[in-house]
This record gives sequence, C-alpha cells and structure tokens, in this order.
Amino acid sequence: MSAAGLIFSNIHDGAIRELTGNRTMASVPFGCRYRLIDFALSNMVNSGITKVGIVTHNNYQSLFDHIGNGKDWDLARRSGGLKILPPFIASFSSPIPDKLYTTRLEALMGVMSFLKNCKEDNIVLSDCDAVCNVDLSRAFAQHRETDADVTVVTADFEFGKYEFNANIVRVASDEEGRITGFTKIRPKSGTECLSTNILLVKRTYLIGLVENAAAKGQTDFYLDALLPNIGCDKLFVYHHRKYYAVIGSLEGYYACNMELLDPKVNGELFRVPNFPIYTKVRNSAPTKYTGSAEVKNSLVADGCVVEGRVENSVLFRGVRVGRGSVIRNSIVLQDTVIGANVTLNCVITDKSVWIHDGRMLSGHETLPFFIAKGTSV
Amino acid sequence: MYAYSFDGYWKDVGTVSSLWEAHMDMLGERPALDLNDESWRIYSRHENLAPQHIGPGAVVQNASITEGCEIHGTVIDSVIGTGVTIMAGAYVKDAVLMSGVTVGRDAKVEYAILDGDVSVGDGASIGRPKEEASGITVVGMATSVPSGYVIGDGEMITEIKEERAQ
Repeated sequence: MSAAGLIFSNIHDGAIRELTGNRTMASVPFGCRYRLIDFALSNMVNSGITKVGIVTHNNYQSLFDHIGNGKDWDLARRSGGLKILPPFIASFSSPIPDKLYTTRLEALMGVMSFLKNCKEDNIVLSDCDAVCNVDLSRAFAQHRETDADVTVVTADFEFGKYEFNANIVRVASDEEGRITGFTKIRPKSGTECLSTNILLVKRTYLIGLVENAAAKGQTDFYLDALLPNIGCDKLFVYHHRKYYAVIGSLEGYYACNMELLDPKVNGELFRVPNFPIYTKVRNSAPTKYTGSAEVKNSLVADGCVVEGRVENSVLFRGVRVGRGSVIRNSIVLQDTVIGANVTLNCVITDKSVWIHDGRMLSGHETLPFFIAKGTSV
Repeated sequence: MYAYSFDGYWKDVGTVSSLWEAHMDMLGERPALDLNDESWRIYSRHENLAPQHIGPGAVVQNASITEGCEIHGTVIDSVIGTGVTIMAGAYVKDAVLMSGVTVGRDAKVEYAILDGDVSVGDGASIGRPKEEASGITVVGMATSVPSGYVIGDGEMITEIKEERAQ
C-alpha cells in the first residue's frame, strides 16, 4: 500500500506563543537535540514513506534551517522526497485577499495540487504538537484490512497535569474500532481517548472531502467534514498504546521534556529498535564534564561543557554551565551560556540566552520561568 | 625546500600509551586538544542516537561523554564513546571506552582501553589503579568479559576462552 505524508507545521503555533514567536510549532526544540517535527517525519520515514509534503504558513525560517534538503531523514531524493508547500496568499480558499489559511481544511485546499499530483493511494496527515513514536506500518496493515477510508491514530491521554491553550479532539469508537463520534474538548482532568491528528486517508477520499468542504464553506475538519460521514463511510481508529503526549501550553512543554527523564518514556520514544527518531545532525564534539561537575538524573546533548551542578534537567546542544552554578529542574535550550555561580530552578531558557555570573532565577513546576531567545540576563 | 614549524597540538598515537594520553588531552578545563573550538571543528560521522542520560545515582567528573550513553555508575577522568552503558555501582576511572561498550553492575574498569562493543559482566574487574598499575590494560573488540572475571594490569586481551572464564 503506497502512501505520501503531509505535515502541518503551524497548526498549533498558538499553543505555546513563547516559543513560536519566531518559529513554527514544527521547529520548537524538544528533548536535547530534537525539534517537534522530527517525530512526525520519523514516524513516516520509519514506515517506508519516501515522499512528504510540509505545509507551511509563516515563521518558517527555523524550520527550513532544520530540515534543509531532508538528507537527515533520507528524504533528499530524485523521486518523491521532501516537498515544501508554502502558502498561497489570497488563495481560492480565502475570501479575504492577503489572508493566509486559518483552518486545517483551508490548508488542505491550498495544497490541492500536491494531493492531486501524488500517485500514492493514501495520504498520512500529521501535526507537530504530538510527541510519540508510532509504528505506522501496523496502522497501515489495519487500514488495508478494514479497507478504511480514514484511520485515525488515537491515544489515551491523562489531563490535569497542565493547562491547555487549545481544544483537543476526542474520538469515540465501538468494539470493532469503527468511529462513532468526534467532540472538541478541553478537559481539566481524567483520561480521554484523543485523536493524535495522525490520520491515514485514502487520497481520492481526502480530495473529495476537501472539495466538498470548499463548496459548502465548511471550516472544521473533524466536525464539519468527517463527522457527517460517520454513518456511511469507513472511519476507523488505530489505538497507539505506547507513550503519547500532546503539547498544548508552555507548562505542557516543560512537563513533557521532564517526562523524558523517566527511563520508560525515554525508552518508548528514543530506544525502539528499528524506529529511531531522526534529527538534523550538528557534528558537535562530545560533552565535557570537568572535575568540578556534578550531574544527576539529567539528559544532556552533545557539545556541552559542564563545570557546575546539574540536576533533573534537560540540556540542549552547545550549552555551557559555569563553575559553581546549580541548575535544577530546568530546560536549557541550545547554545545557552550560563556563567559561574548561577542558580536556576524551573527555568526554560530559549536559544542563545546568556545568564551572567551570580544570577538567581526561579519559576515553579506549574509556572516555569521563560527567558526569550538571545536574552542576556 | 622550506620547513614550516607547526605550533598547535600534535601527537603520534602509534602506541597504546600515547593513544591513551591523547584521549586524556581532551579533558580538563584547559585541554591541550580542544574539540569545542567552533572556528576549527573536527567533523565526524554521527550516529543518530538518543541524548545521553546521566542517571540519578551517577557520578561524572572530568569526563567526555557522548550521544546514546546511559550512565548510572561512576565515571572519573575518562573518555566515553557513543552508545556506552555504565550500570549502577560500576566504577570507571582513567579509562577510554569505545562505542557500544557495556559495563555491568559493580564492575570496575581502571587505567584501561576497551575497544568497541566490549561487554564487561557484573562485578568483573579490569586493570588496576593508575598509580599502582604496571601498564594500560587493553581489551579487544567485542570481547565479552564474564561476570566476576578479573583482568590484571597491563594485560592485552582479545578473547576469553571458556575454560579460563570458569
């Protein structure tokens, strides 16, 4: 069964405005050395997909810088490979000139030529707010077996740990896996079965769905386009049982990074045989710990120099921690320089932050203190 | 014909001890060989491995550690390659561990070079403290050192026969 991928790089930008001020959700750094799009791209590539379109909206400099020609995902190809799909301004989808798309359906209308030119039978749709390592070839086997028009990859997610800045799609299904309903929710607690926004769709069905939506002026992919078809078309769920997290706020981003310190979570994401998560390789030197370093329960990328104490933290590539500094429960993004005798607790520093000697900064687990890109403290 | 006098870092690594020394030259606050010099990068092939995880009970001092490593024991004055696992209670000092090495629980590795994919069983002991050792202990590629096994200082091992293991 042949398939092409389609990734929406901007759809959830509003969820963490702090980090998406000058980048897409897709290029938000995550877990020491990754960007959120790496999960979507790797899930596709690991299931044998060799053609992936990336739908962009705005702020995509960092995204292009990260994916380059797609070589690191083995997507630099003569046939297929990576296709960047920049937005049309005042495309037919938008009634107001100079306005970019605002919904998933409008985004799909804007890439109609990509969908029509594909020779593959199926399209895999994916967003960039999900952190999961999914074996899509299994989902495909089920998709083929049930001859489904749409297979929605679902996962259980426990709410209540942190706030959400966006609505989430809950999926109801019967014992056979047939979808019986979609609802948009923003729960405060409890475990719900969510759409991971990874969908396997028959290409011709998707084109029909989008054309119909354009004709009727529909706006919501799930509620307007899919929901009325539940009775007549074959809509199934494929339930992902391993680790899944959706990042819906800065607190969520913080909590999700911290969860990587749990060996079970780490194993289910990064140490699955034959299902590696690929990323842009930076060719840094190994991380160096000096004699004064003291490191406990932390994830550290390459290219760091650690002279101080680091506990329960996530250090990205090229971070420096000076002598006498104590970094606790913090997420330190790439190329941040922390001077000597600095104390950080529950802090997120964006890229290339410079924290001078002797500073003391602290947030709280439920409200991490965020320092914007390039700031000098 | 002219001579050009090079004043940067140079070392002939043709012997076991100079190979070991060159590794140690990367360590310290002012290393003789600085790989972190952004203006003069040393490129290599990088495997796509997970970030290194330093466990809750780990002790890491004066060491170089890279991607894919899982460190739960003690690592002092050592250079650790990609994808190395050092289990809880293990003690690694003055050592060079190439990629894919596994050091079991409570095992000890001192003043040694372990080549790629060597696995050191639980409680095994390789080498002796640098101050007392007669030389560097070397364990060859993919050698599997059984649990509780002892390899003395200065030894060079490329395989361990069954009977010796018992």
